[in-house]
Order: sequence, then structure tokens, then C-alpha cells
Amino acid sequence: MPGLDADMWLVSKGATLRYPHPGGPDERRRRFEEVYAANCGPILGYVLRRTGNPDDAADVIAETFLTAWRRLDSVPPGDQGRLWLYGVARRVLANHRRGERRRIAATGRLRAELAARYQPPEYTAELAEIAAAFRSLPEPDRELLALIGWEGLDHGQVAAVLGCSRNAVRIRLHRARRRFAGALASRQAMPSPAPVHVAHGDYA
Amino acid sequence: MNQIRRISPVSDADAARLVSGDAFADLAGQIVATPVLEHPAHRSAFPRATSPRARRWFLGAPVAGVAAAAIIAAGVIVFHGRPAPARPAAGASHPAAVPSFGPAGTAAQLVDYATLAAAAGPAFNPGPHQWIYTDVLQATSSAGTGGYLKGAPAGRLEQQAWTRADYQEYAYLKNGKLVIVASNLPRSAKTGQAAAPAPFGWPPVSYAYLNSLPASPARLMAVIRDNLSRQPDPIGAEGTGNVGVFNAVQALMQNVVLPPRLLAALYGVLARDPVVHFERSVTDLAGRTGVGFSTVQEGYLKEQIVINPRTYAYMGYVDVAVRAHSSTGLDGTVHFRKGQILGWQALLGSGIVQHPGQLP
Repeated sequence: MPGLDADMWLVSKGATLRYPHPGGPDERRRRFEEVYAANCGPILGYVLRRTGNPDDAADVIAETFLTAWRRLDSVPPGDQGRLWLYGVARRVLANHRRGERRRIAATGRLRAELAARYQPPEYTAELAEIAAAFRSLPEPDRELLALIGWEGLDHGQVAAVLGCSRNAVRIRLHRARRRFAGALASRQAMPSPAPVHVAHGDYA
Repeated sequence: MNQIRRISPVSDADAARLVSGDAFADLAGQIVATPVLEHPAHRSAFPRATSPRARRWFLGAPVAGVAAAAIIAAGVIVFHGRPAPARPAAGASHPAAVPSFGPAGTAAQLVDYATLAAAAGPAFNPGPHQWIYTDVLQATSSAGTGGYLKGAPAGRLEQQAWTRADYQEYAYLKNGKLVIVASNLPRSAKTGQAAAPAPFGWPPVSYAYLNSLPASPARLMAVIRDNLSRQPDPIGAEGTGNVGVFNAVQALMQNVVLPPRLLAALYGVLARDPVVHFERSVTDLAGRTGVGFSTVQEGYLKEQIVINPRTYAYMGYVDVAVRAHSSTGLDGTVHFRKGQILGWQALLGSGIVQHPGQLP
């Protein structure tokens, strides 16, 4: 839809745009259910890839969609709505990372279900090295690479989520890739970890 | 990028499988059953209902407001001889009235919920030529005021005012007409522009400065302690240590309409200040019940900040003597009895508007 990229950029800068929907409460509920059904999987994937903790993921999911429900007029239609939700989830996750967590009563069942069904990945030695190199990057690099590699977004969509220009994404992506390649190369050049003998017979 | 994809902790297929469970349908049902609050940022799109209250615009010099008191030269003061009617707990037009995440019954909940609500709400970053509207109800006493109430808080003074966000102008209504006056805050010799006000313990608090402050309570507390240490004048016990942190936070809340993100961080500062206590129930001057933070100073004066437990907005303050006390100064000796209210103020509404005279 023409203009929505520009709209998302404005939203990422703090603007509040409205996409009013006709009809009453039933229509509002129907629209939310459409947004929820279309985006629940991708947003859960986005959150789990960044927390790996089912409890936190349940809370972040609930907060994200509760925000969408309360600000439904601000949720753009179509695929742009997913970018909007990524932006909300990103802010809620940032609060969790700062230790500002909260537990929501409504998510008790969701937490239990996710805990029972989510299996964290088991990496081979090679993948563990790649993951360690990735984790060694600064958070902005990780987020940029993850939005493209894990969420499959293009440069324009990443710009909308991060609130910067496409050109900035291009430049930052180039640098992030270079740092990732450097981190990977330095890890592969390192010898295998081995116990180091130190004084008093202890091992460090 | 292929290597990044290989370490994705969850595939899209796995995520789709996970959301197929009943719990996700259950969550959707609970979300749509949640009441939707009108978002303040959306209000301008709708015609505002006219009410008797909306037409009653008053003006007065804020008794305790550093910012506005420093700007205003004169005004019309309206006294109400009886207590104001009780008002609903939800602040009608405060910018912090973002979606509620539930009633806050503890300090930790208040900090968490206010932080989440601020993250979910719009940024509070007024442009230099936008205006900040405030509607303040202040207790007065026929026995006089002088930094505190000298008698019963029998009077009420309501003040509605507009301050331009860059602090260059101030506005009020006089005989139904809007009067705009230039700021009388100190001006820069270089630019001729009025400086932002500097509440107790703070440098000039422009909105650019306020929005640059850290969101982390620990880091914000460090900033406050550093600011206090840089105060140019001797500021005594009330400006040092943990009490100084409380007083600086309270001074900022009393005098500036704060971005919700900063307000949430300030609650976090108070929650970790060892001399500050969380209050589960505090009644403000307008009869609204809130939660709050308090501290007792000089062994007798309990200062309480009142906060809306559902919108997490600042509601005002209550100062009360918790034991009898006599204070001797250059102006003689005053005696306070236990339970005497020494200061009481309620913020009835506030927000960003485009023009003076406009309501949020």
C-alpha cells in the first residue's frame, strides 16, 4: 500500500498515526483477531529467538498484543502491521532486559504450554562457535543481523522497525557483517579450550 | 547471512506449531475482554464535549510551582470555600494516562507497570512551540501560607495555565480572554532566550534534557546524586543523601509535566531509596485515592507523593506533621500539631496542546 513505508518511519519516530476502522465493538474485535491470527506465530518466533525463555516470551507476547488491542487504530493494515508489532515487542523486550519484568496472570496457561512444548536448540560444535561469535557482537549489530537473517526482513522493513533510513541500514549492515566475520574468524583461530594449570594446583 | 540463519533458535515452522495450542486462543480471548481506554493522543481527532468544568478556566500564580511561578507576573486567583468534589481516580488528561496494565499495589508493580505503560504509549516530546497545559488544585488557609499551610486547609485555589515548551511564553485567561506574557525567567546573554526552570537539585530542565535522562533507575539515581553534589549553593540536609534524592524527585514532579518514561524511572529511583516508603493509600486534595511514596523529614514532616495506581500518573502531594513539632526561625516560632496538613496539591489535568487556551 503506497505511503505505508513512510508511515512506519513516522511511527518509529514516535508519531501516532490512525487507521480507523468502521463499525462497532464487534468489528474491532474481528480486526484484532485477524491481526492476532496473522502475526502470532511470527511475533512468538521473534520473541523466542531473543529470550529463549518461555516465561518471558509469554509475558512479552501478552504485552505486545495487549498493546495492539488497545491501540488498534494505530496498527497499520497488512504486512506493515507485523513491522509495527515487531517494534512494540522490541520495546517490551528491552524493558525485560533492563530487569523490569512483570508477570501477568492472564499468561499463566500460556507459560505452561510454552514451557511444555518449546525445545531450545541443541547446537553442534560448529554451530555453537557461530552462535558464540554472534553473541559477542554489540546488541545493535545482533538485532540488525537477526531482523534480516531470522525475521527475513528487507532493508526498508528493517529501517521501519529500527527507526532509521534505508541508507543507514545498508551502512550499518555492512559494518555488522564485517564485525561478525571478524568475530567468527577470531574464534576459529583460537585453540580448543584446555585446562590451564595455575598455582596451588587449581585449574582456572 | 546463511550462518546467522543456521543458528536461529526457533524456526518459523516451530513458532507456527507452538501457537496452535489452546493457550494462544485463550490469550486472545482474554485480551479482547480487556477494557480499552481512550488514548490521549487520539483525543484531538474527536470533538470535545463541552462541560461546565471545561468552561471554568481559572488562572493563578502556582503556589509551589517553580516553573510557572517564575514566569507569571500577575493573575486572577479563584478561591473555592469548600472542599472540591471527589473526582474519579483516572486522571482525565494527564499525558501519563496510557493504557493501564493493572492496579499497582506495591512499589515494584508501580515501577513495572508504569515502565510498560510508558513504553506502550506515545513519546512525550513537545516541540518548542507547543504548549504544556496544567490544571492544578492547591489547598490554602485563611491563617496564611509561607512555604507551608499555617492553618486548616480550608480553601481551594484552582489554576489552569499554559507554558510554552521552550519556556519563552506563559498564558492564562483574564476576563475570558487569553493573555500571553513573555517569560521572566533568566535570559541568556548570548541568545536572549529565557532558560528552562531549574527545580531544586536540577540543572535547567528543558524537555530535551528530560528526555535524555536514563531510563534505568540506578543510572538515573546516579545522575540525581551528581546533580545534588553540583548545587552551587549550600543546600543543607534536605539536599544531601537519600533525603536529597527524594526531595529532588519531588521537586521535579511538582514543577514540570514529565514524560511518562522519565516518571516511571523516577518511581524506580524512589523504590530503591532506603529512606522512602511505599504508601498503599493516599488521598489527594481532589478526593481521589492513590498510592504513593513518602519520607519523614526532620523527625516530624511526612512528605507524600500521590500516584494514580491505574494510570501511574503523578497526582500531587500531601505534607502532614506526624508528630507535634515547634520550629523557631527568624520569623518567630510556629507550632505544628500531630496530623496537621502543611501542604496539599492535586494535578487535575495536563498535556501537550498546540495553542494556549486549548485543552488536551
